[in-house]
Amino acid sequence: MDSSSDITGLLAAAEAGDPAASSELFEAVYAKLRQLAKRERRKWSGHHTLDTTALIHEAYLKLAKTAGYSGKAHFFGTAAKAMRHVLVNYARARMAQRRGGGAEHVDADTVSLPAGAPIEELLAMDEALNRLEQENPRACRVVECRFFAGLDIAATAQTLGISTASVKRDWRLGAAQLYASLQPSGD
Amino acid sequence: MAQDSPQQREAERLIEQALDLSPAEREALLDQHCAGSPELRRQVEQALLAHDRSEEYLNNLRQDLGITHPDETLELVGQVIDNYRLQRLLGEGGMGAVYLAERTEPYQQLVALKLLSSGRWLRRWHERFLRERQMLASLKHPHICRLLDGGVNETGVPYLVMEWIDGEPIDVYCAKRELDPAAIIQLFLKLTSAVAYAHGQGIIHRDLKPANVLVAEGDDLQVVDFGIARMLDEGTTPDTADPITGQGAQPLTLAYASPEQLRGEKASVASEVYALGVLLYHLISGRLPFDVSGQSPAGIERLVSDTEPPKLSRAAAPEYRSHEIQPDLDAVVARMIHGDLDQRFRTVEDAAADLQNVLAHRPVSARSPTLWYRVSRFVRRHRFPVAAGTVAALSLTAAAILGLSLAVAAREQARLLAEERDRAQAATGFLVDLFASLNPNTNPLDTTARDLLEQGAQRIEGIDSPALQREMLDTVSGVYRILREFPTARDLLEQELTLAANLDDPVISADVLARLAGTQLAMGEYDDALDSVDQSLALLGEREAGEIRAGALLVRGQTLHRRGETALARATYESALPLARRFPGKDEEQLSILQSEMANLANHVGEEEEAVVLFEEVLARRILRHGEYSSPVSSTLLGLAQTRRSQGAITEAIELLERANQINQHLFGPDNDRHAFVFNSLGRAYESYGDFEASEQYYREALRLVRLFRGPEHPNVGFGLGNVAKILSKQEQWADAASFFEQAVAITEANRPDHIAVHDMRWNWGKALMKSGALAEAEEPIIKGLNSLAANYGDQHPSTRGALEAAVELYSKLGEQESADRYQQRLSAIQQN
Repeated sequence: MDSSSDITGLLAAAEAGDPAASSELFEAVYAKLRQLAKRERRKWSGHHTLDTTALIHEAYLKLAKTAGYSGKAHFFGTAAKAMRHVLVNYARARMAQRRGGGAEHVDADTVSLPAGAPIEELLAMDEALNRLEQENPRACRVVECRFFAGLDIAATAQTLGISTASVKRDWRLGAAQLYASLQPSGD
Repeated sequence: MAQDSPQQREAERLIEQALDLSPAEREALLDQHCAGSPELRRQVEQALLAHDRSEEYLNNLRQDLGITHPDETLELVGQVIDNYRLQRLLGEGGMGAVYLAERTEPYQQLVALKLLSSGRWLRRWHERFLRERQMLASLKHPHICRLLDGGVNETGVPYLVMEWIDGEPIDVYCAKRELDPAAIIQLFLKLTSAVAYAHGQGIIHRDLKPANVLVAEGDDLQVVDFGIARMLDEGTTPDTADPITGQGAQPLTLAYASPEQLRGEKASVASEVYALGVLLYHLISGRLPFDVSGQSPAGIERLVSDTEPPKLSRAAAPEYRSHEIQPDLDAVVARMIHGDLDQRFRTVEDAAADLQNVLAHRPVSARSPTLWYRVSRFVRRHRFPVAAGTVAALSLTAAAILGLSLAVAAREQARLLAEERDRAQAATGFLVDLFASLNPNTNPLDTTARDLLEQGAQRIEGIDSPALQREMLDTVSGVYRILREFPTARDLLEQELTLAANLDDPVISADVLARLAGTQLAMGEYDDALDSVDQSLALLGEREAGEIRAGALLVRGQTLHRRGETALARATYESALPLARRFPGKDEEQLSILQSEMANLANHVGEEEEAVVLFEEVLARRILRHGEYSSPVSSTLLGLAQTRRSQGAITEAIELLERANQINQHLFGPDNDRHAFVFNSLGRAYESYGDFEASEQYYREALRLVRLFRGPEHPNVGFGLGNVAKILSKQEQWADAASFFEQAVAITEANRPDHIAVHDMRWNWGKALMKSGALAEAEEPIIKGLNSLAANYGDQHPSTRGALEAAVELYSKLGEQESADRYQQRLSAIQQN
């Protein structure tokens, strides 16, 4: 399930409210992002940044081109979540490698984080986001859009279909909670 | 966060309002709304601070993770600017984003539209911008991307429209197609022709880097963004003090910025030569000459000014190192990225001409000996005061102590590199001069350095003066020794010795003899080596000549040790040690070699703790002197690893070995006889670790290299065969093991008949024969090996015990119970002790 036309069909179905399509869409976008990130890494080996916005945008354009799909907003929400998983899986694989256990080479091969990147913090953030999701799912979405997909307040509002005021509030709340749970006290 | 009380609601409202404001505006807002309520103000301020902190934290985390995402670029796709519709984002740089755009009027065309970042620009610069644009539009060259149009969008942001090149950055293009160095140079010459043309028009690119050199299928190269950086720079003239960006003349891409640019000078033709050199270095090696990541411009400036970049061939992949153009290209690139303007190519044309020479196998001007002499003298004269000036300027700050020690270390490293290079270059230069003086009718341009070396060696005989003849032999043999062509070096040293004998200076003869001995030792001719070194010491007699004596004693000790005479070897080393310590100035490496050999010996006789102390002293000295990526450091690591292994620290040993292997592969490429030693050590480490398959692979690879580089009869081949045989035995592949042991014994016996390894391998050979069922053939080797061991080392020695066990097993199998019992009794006697 990774061809562009499949994804586009899923996008339409997901936007129409089909929950099964949503989860399949996630898998498909996830695969596409990994593929793009991998290519990006090969292309820019030596560069240590991963322009997630550009990746997500390119993934979107590839899909939009094939089927004229225009549900950009919904796509970004899914893509932000998928990007989070790409990075977190990569961090997990790296941790496993570091501990000498069986590593997920597929993921380690997919994206590159800079040497010395705080992957433990990324993993802690992932856990904190899971907790946030339990208490306040919308705030979790907002943080994903802003942190992983690099959307600004307005784009996040558009993507999630909520007001900019809500985005600001959720962002403030979410950021504060992440900071509190990630930052060692006394600083 | 309950939002019940009116004050809390008010606080929330203020917080949300304040979040969008600058600090000053926040102050004003709070002054206005919290006048009579310090409690409200405190609440809001705390919330704002907390938010700023958490946002800052998340931003930092994102940056540390290398995740970037410029916010505004997404929203522009689909927008129309004048006649252009933005289709997609092509890329982004310091100056703005580039979009693929479609021109709608007057005709359809795909173009690249560069939207310069807002904020850098003010309307008052537009006029200038338009004038510059006119000039850029006049650049017409097949490899310069045309500027088609430009303007200002409705929000006042200038944009430029260029041809759209459906290509890739040159580094990606070369890497994807795995272009070989010659093909890369061919492509690169298109770039130099474009840059040289623009320089002729008085236009400097100012931001040459891979992203600005696009190549489309079929090697169609186009330089983009010509002069745009300069337009920006002109916009911020010094007298306007650059109120917008505070960046002024700062170079745009630090990795490609020349030292003088980093010091704040303007971009120039010379700085473009530098950037092109860095680019070529990157294309060939995949690396940058300096690792500038994560450094401040000031830090980079220090690094780039005070350090010589590693030679291209050190940074490049092994295939490049064996490429015939390697030495010449190394020299040309080194001159392109030389930190000193006087030594860099003056123009891009000069550099291009030398690159053409590289391709045509003509000598390059970058290696001209006269130039090098001038260059090295200049460096010697000027390097120290320059660096000292930098240090003095720094010393006012608190960071000065750190800066000082770093600068001193960097300077020392630079000096050593320059010294090393000078020596090699001086030797080559000497040969070139020599050749030219010998045969004025030959055009030296038709000759390669290698030919020169060979012809030089041949022509030495024709020289009238024996003293000059000897000096030349000295140089040429030295070069061959560096090239590890020991037989040629030996022959030349023997000629030199004859000449030296006529000079009536025994010290010279002694020196030549010591070096001859070293060469014979490297060839495995131990008897000859001892003869030579003893003659050398005899000639020195009571004379002072401490350095030469220390050298001779070192070779003597090494030879004795290799022959297995450990006690004699140790005494010899100890007599050399005070001499080596007394002359550290000229060559402290001699002291390091001596101590390493002492450590090897200590290791060999089971005094591992002493070996570790010696190795660590040597390692520290060598890292300081040569840097991590140097062969002296890797060989010390090897020795230390061996010691650690015998102490039982297997994992640590494997780590040290891998570190050494990494250095060696980096320095010498895949096929080099130095690797044999590392592979042997890795074989041994994995053997101790219990991974016999890995061990066997390493042993076999080591054997292959030793045979390849030292010849099939070299003593090390005997040991290599023995290692493979031993590991085959451990895997119970007895027939193969027997065959390897047989060859190992033959070769080792021929070289060192009394070495314990001969006896040890002999009974093991017999044991392998026995295990593979060849009982009759097994008897002689087992008993012969056993008897030699017992006679020389006694029954207590573990090797003897192993041989006794083999004998018991053999005679039991043969049904000769009497013999079996006899050997069993000897075994029991050992166990009772």
